[in-house]
Amino acid sequence: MSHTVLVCDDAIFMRTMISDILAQAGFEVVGEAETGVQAVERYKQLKPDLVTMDIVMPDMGGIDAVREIVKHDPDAKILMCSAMGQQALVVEAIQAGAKDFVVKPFQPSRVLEAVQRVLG
Amino acid sequence: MDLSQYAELFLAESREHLSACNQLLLAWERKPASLEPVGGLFRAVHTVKGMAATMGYGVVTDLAHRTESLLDHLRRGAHPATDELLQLLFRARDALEQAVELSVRGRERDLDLSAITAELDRAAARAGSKGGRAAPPSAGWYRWCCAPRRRSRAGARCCSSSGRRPSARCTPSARPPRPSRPRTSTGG
Repeated sequence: MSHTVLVCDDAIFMRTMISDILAQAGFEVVGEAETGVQAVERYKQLKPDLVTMDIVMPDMGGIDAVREIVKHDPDAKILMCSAMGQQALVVEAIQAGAKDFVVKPFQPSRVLEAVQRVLG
Repeated sequence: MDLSQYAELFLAESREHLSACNQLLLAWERKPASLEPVGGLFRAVHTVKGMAATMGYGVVTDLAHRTESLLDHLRRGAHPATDELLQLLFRARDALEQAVELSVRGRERDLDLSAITAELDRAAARAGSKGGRAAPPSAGWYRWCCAPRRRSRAGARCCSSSGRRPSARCTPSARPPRPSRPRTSTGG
């Protein structure tokens, strides 16, 4: 059975690209979210095996969404998607409970390597 | 990975964000002391920058980065809107729009952006010297950029601050519409 993934990013462009990378590698993208609030709601609904999480999103940013998701499920597997120059925020996200990160612009191979690391 | 399959999506979403920038600039003009429009502008330009970088459109990425830097200085220094700043940001927005349109046609190098980039850099330096030094994104920056909105509406984040009408992309419960362009194999 393929792993299920929730893709969270405020840009439809990024959600589509990440979803395509994962789907072509055999993952099942079960949902998408464009704000941190939606990410938390959808995680609770869908209980995915993995979450990809953007940092800069409106309403609730990715780091706060990580905190809320981990509060709900301490075993949640969350991969942060950060822009270059956001190292301090990545550290904060990891402290909040994210398992790993990839830096935009994405190389599909890097995304899949990080996903595999997170899923163990 | 064949990035050309995403060009149409890049174009549509960039247009949407740049249209929102117009509304946000008008909102800032109406409330010169408000930082909320500056936050919305920053997020929109940041998103365009990220998408352009992913597509490999260097001119758009560079122009968006310089605009974003100015906005960061303005935010940190809590600078109020001035006619000069608004005119510059409107022109930067227009230049970004042109660069986006030309980039997807493979003609981004046709643009001469030296004047606007120099103006953006000068304005950023001035704003920085008045107490708004840009720094690597930090917790404070993140809280400013991603703070919950007072007028938040479920499923309509991109409309709540920009004044735009809710659109299909504001409701991601369904898979978003895909570009009409025929897909080509990316070879995995």
